[in-house]
Amino acid sequence: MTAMDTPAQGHSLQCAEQRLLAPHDIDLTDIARTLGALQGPGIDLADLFLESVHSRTWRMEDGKVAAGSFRIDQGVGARAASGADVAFAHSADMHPGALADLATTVSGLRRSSCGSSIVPLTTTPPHHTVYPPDYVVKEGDAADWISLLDRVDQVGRGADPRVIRVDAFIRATDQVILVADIAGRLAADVRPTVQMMVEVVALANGRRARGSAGMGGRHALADLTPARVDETVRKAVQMALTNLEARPAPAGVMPVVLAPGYAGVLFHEAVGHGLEGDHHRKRLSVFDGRMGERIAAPGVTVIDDGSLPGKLGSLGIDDEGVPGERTLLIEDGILTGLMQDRLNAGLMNDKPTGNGRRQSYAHLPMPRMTNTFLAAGQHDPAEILASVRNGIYAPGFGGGQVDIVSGRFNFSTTEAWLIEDGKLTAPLEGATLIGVGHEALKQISMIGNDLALDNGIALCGKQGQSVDVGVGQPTIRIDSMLVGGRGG
Amino acid sequence: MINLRLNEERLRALASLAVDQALALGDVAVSATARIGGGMRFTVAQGTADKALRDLTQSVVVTVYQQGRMGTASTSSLEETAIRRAAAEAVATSGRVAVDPDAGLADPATLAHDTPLPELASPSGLSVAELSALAFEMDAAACGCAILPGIATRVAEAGVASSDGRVALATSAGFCRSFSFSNHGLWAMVKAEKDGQSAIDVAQSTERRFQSLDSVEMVAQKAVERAVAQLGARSLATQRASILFDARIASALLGDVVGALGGVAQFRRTSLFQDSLGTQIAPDHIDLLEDPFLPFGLASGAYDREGVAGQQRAVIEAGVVRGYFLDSRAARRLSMRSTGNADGPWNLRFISRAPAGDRAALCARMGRGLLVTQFNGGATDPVTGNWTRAAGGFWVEDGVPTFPVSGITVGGNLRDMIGGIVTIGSDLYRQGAFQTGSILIHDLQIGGAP
Repeated sequence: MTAMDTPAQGHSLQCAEQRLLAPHDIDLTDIARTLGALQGPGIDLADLFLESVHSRTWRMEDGKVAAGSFRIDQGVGARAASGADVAFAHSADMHPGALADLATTVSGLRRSSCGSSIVPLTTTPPHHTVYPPDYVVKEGDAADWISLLDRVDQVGRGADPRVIRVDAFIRATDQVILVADIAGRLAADVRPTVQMMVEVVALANGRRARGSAGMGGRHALADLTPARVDETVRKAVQMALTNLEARPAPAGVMPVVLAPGYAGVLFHEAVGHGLEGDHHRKRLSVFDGRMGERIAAPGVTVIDDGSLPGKLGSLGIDDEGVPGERTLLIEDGILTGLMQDRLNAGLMNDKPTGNGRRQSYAHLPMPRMTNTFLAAGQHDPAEILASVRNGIYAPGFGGGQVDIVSGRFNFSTTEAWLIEDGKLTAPLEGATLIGVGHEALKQISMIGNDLALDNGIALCGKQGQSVDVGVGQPTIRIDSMLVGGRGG
Repeated sequence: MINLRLNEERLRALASLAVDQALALGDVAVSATARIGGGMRFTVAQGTADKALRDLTQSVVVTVYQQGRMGTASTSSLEETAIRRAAAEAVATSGRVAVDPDAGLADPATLAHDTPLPELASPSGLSVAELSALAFEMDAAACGCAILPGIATRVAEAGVASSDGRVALATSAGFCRSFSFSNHGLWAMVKAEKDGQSAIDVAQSTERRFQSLDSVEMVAQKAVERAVAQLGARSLATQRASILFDARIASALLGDVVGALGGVAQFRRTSLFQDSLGTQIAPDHIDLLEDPFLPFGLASGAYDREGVAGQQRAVIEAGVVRGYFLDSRAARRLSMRSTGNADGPWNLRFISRAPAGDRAALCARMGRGLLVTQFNGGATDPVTGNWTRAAGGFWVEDGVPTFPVSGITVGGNLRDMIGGIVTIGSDLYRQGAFQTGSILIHDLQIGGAP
């Protein structure tokens, strides 16, 4: 078999053939034959996922870029499912014989024998423009990256004499995938990612404090413009200086104002994970059986959107070849949608939503978020802050977690302020904020008109698999939330 | 049965090949690690097969130093062309960066050419059918646990995993060794429901030797008991109280202590226990003991990724810091010697010289307070020691757990907490590299919304 006559995804398929197939003497006939071997009585879903990742990191430590690293990871994953019963094997070896071995292994796990048909590969998804299919890990570009990191150090140290240390890294990653399944679907994607993280330590009066910030997305190095880099560094500096003055955060129930952007991790935890299809199929989610019900105040609309151009969580196609799309999870307070992969959509008689994601060829796909955010409302952010007599304002967050069975979630601040009479009065040390998803949603009383996604630094872990995601929200007021600081 | 494609001799040859390839490209010092692993994992839920997985992983990592300029490259392909490319990339990268005078191979005098290898390998030898059957047994045991009327339980996942691996390290300083290891596990995740309230919890057993795993009945019983015990949990009023950290989760406190005593935090001066060598950070009945050589220990080994052996030592002795966790670079920067901790801590035991008995005895000693059995998230500021967690557990009155608690936070400053440890129980629990009993600390902050 030759490649598609009129491939809808010409360039990505070409890249995939060049990087995943040709160097390993694999052609589409080998793929078709392996899929045939995976196919057998009772198999509803079977696919092959070929992946190549090239990644380069430059690390700046205390003013010097003294270390760099390069990584090539490649391999194939083969899956066959009968109902919810999934067999999966993977290999870092890539050659026609390795594909045949994988099919044999998967059949062995199922304790059945290999099929002998050949699956004609006939359909490809449409071309996408979510990000350019360009490689960002190129030879010989070290100077550009290193000068960018030198700039980070200069800007950081120059920003304030209390800054005593700046560390940073830049990582560029090219991921090329090819996925083919027994329905004859063939899809490829080239996903460039660039990320920079900055950490600053400040010292004053014998006290040290840390600040960090980052930026990233599915785009080229050129998108790390000096202006964006400077803004990121200043954000880290500002956080460190603020934390120099921080006092213990209070503990107790109070109004909370969350700043736009990364604080949207609240919706990732409180809503998102509970609306992943697998948790519903297994009837583990606290939102199970509540589709169509009001679970939040009117005005609360939560969206997962993999089709946003250039965002870290964006996907032209997901890891099962389904185009990334916009899914309404909560519309004006009513629960409306789930995020699905092919397996769970098939078992639940639903349709896949472009959320089938996997950490790598060595992992099984499952429903995962892309970019998840609360839609903008009407309020002026200044008005929201002014409305709080006693509470906290949190512009900086670290990670969060959720127990999907109870809906109980938490997330921790990295920068926070006390609000007194509508004004920010004192910086606070880190606190862990907790709540129960559907209860917290009902406490949202004001939604700002300043929607922003995070700067491209969010990483989501689920069942041991990490994937890049986006989170976001406008400024919001939550009337009552448990703030867990170490102060009384 | 897992058959790894390459034996140790082949892996040593691949690591040496990577070293030679890099040496051929310039005046460099090189270390290379070649690794291969394979395993099977089966999960079942409520009598139905869920997943059957076969893992095969492999990699070569090459690290090159050109007079303090460091470059690293890795490849998941073990073909000679891929290894050659990785070596070339590492050399090229090292040529582009600045000098770090402390970066380089381990000092030759510290290399562990002949430290005895602790036993780490014990393949289960079980077939697909046998492992799969065991996953069904795990599930059946959890389904079959007796529970009180009015409570429903469901197995969210029951599983078994078995894997074997090998790793070889070669350096241009003439070090070349390898070893094999195994990991086996059994687990059950159970959801319990009563009166519309749900709780989920997990129990697991992880060992280097298959025959050392807990029985499926024991794992099942624990998972069911833990999930059921949380039913009816409620929050508490915001207050200050004593907290008993159950041994099962107390190792989370240790992780932060190890980080703070790590070389990177020390030389970056971002440690909450900065420059603490020789100073008292815990009460004088507390020891933190490290042992790299325990047979079949989950964090045992004859040497670290730089070829340096760890040692049996007291990291904290009578509350006083006696050592950090150092690799070669951190050691040079601090004018010390590597402690062989380039891969992190070896097996650690956190103990009191006056252990206060089991958990029940500790509850009795606490009298009134919170027994924390779960951390659900939270953060530690590694510089200031500010420490907050979302948690769950049981409220203790008159020395006895009275009702389950959830929806609370606990907070303190880790420096004060470690300094204020009242006692550690004799109910030792092992979690990866860490082993500790339950830890009692007075006067911490609880946040709640009753």
